[in-house]
Amino acid sequence: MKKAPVVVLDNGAFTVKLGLSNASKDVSHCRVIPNAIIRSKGDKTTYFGQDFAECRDFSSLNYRLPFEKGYVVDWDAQKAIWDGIFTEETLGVDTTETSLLITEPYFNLPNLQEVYDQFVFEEYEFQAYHRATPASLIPYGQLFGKPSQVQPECMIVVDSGFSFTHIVPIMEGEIVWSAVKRIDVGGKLLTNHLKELVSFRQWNMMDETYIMNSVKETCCYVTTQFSADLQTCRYKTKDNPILQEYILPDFSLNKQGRVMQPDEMTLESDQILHMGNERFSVPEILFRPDDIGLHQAGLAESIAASIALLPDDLQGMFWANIGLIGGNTKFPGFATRLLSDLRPLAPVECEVVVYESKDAVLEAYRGAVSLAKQSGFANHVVTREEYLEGGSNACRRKFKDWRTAQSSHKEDAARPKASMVREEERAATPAAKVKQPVKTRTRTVSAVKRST
Amino acid sequence: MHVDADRESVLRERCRAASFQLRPLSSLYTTIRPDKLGSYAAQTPSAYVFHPRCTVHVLSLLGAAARQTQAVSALDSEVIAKRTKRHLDELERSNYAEPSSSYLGMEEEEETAGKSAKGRARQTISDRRSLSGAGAKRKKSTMNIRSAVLYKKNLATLIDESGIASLPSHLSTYLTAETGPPREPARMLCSVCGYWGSYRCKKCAMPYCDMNCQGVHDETRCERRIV
Repeated sequence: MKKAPVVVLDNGAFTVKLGLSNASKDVSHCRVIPNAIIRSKGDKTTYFGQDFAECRDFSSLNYRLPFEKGYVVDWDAQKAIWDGIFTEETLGVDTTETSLLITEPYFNLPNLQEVYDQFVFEEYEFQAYHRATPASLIPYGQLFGKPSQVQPECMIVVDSGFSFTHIVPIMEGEIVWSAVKRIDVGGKLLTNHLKELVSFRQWNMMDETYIMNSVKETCCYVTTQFSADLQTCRYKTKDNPILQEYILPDFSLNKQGRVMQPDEMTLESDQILHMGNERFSVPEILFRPDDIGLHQAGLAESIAASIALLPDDLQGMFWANIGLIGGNTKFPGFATRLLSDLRPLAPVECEVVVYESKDAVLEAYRGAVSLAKQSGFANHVVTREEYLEGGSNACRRKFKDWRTAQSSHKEDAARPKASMVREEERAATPAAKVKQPVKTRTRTVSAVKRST
Repeated sequence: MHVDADRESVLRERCRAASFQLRPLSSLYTTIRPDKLGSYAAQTPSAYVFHPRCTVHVLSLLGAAARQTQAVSALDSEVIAKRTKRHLDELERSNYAEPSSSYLGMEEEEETAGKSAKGRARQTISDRRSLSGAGAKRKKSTMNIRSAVLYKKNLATLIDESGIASLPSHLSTYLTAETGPPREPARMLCSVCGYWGSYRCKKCAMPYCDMNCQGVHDETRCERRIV
């Protein structure tokens, strides 16, 4: 019998990424579906998840999101969206005949994990399933090099999504939970912040989350020289290279929003949104949460704090393998800025390398697909029989989540020493091999300033 | 009673515009001398009889000035922290007009769909979806699923119920994984235009950068109700 494909679902708070493990090699087959129930006033219709593709009028959309601060709280809404996804029309397979690989948030609450189990086995009746965090799937992907190459044994995955940003150290394929750090800044907060700025300064956009999200995605960038850019934007002059004019969409004429070209003439009916320091001060919050009064360390500082909690002799490897996933990392200039912030925090002798993904949103999905393809995937899953026998306990025993991983680490406290020695031996060779980052690798060893 | 310089100038301005008249109880009408306003305020307002039309106004101005002074001194970091927290909570909203969101899709369809549900106590949005769909094969959900769908809990409640707060302290959880405080002090950015904010509002402590932005701030942003 031919092996049935695995349904892969990266269940994000903003979008779900959905596909089958046996589909084409690249991830272009992946369907990205809003994880929301959206009411369009103009269309007088409520769209559930994937139906949103039919939406034509994006003004004053009302959102109902299953997630609150990164965790599924509204199961009614989540079920409504999943009901549309887990059908034969959408998937091409019957859920009762396949297995599932689904992502869950970091530090997912135990009581929520049980609901995941219940939905998978009781509502959709999958044969087997595996539940994992997005970062834990990255070692299977290509963020740090082609799968054929040896993956680095130590890596930091920076996952900056819709709800929050996590810094996740991974050692030999396993998350070091004691060093995971969370910054409560995500894409949702950034969009809302931009909405506020614009509404106060120019147009009232408080109800236009959808439009402001696309403005954010088109106009915003991460600066490496905040002070200088701020100075440039002090006055609205013509020769300000940062200032962009965004033509707001007009849904009655079916016109999408876009940035005005330099020598373009505007129509009288066009509504122009001037994007000055908003362009970089919004993503800046990821690096300086204090700018909006959120009393948390920025991204670079948090990464340094996370690495400081890892074994001394391996810290250099973590500095040299920092990978970026999640939608926020798509802001132009993100990696460059992070690197320039990190360099002074890292020890002089350490090489700091930041790996960028071509499609940061799909990176976890890509890893999930290659895990699902592996012959060993069967060892990771909990089967329906096991669940019917042991309930959620079966899942708790099987899945390496933050609880099981941490309690098992305590048991073999002697083990790390042994593995560290091994690590050192290996460090020389694989590190040399891995030295071919996929996308971006920038090194500024010159700008070294040792920090305490 | 002390009137701070700011309020006094306002008063002075108002008085000049209205050219108030006032007289000591015993004497004839005298014109308010704006430069002496502080000293008027220092005495009990009732020592003077204002022009009837203006009396109430001036008294309330003097009273407000006094209250304001107290408020400014009472404005401390705690109040600001509260305001910041409120703002951060607002930034987590899915919709600006939040209350309606929980009834999303309910309003218009409530009447028609609600009746067809044969007096069921509550109708869920997931039910509505499958009803409006083909609806050919609808299997009954298990008890677990139904209670998860019917009883929505917010994150705070869920964290409470999960018991992660009582786990041994060496385990990292959602509660402990939050990153530490920033090493550098916060930057002051103008709350109006986003440029460096070198000054802080006396009343609400929001930063602004120049007179222009101060004007905008005073008119629109200043939270006088911080009292």
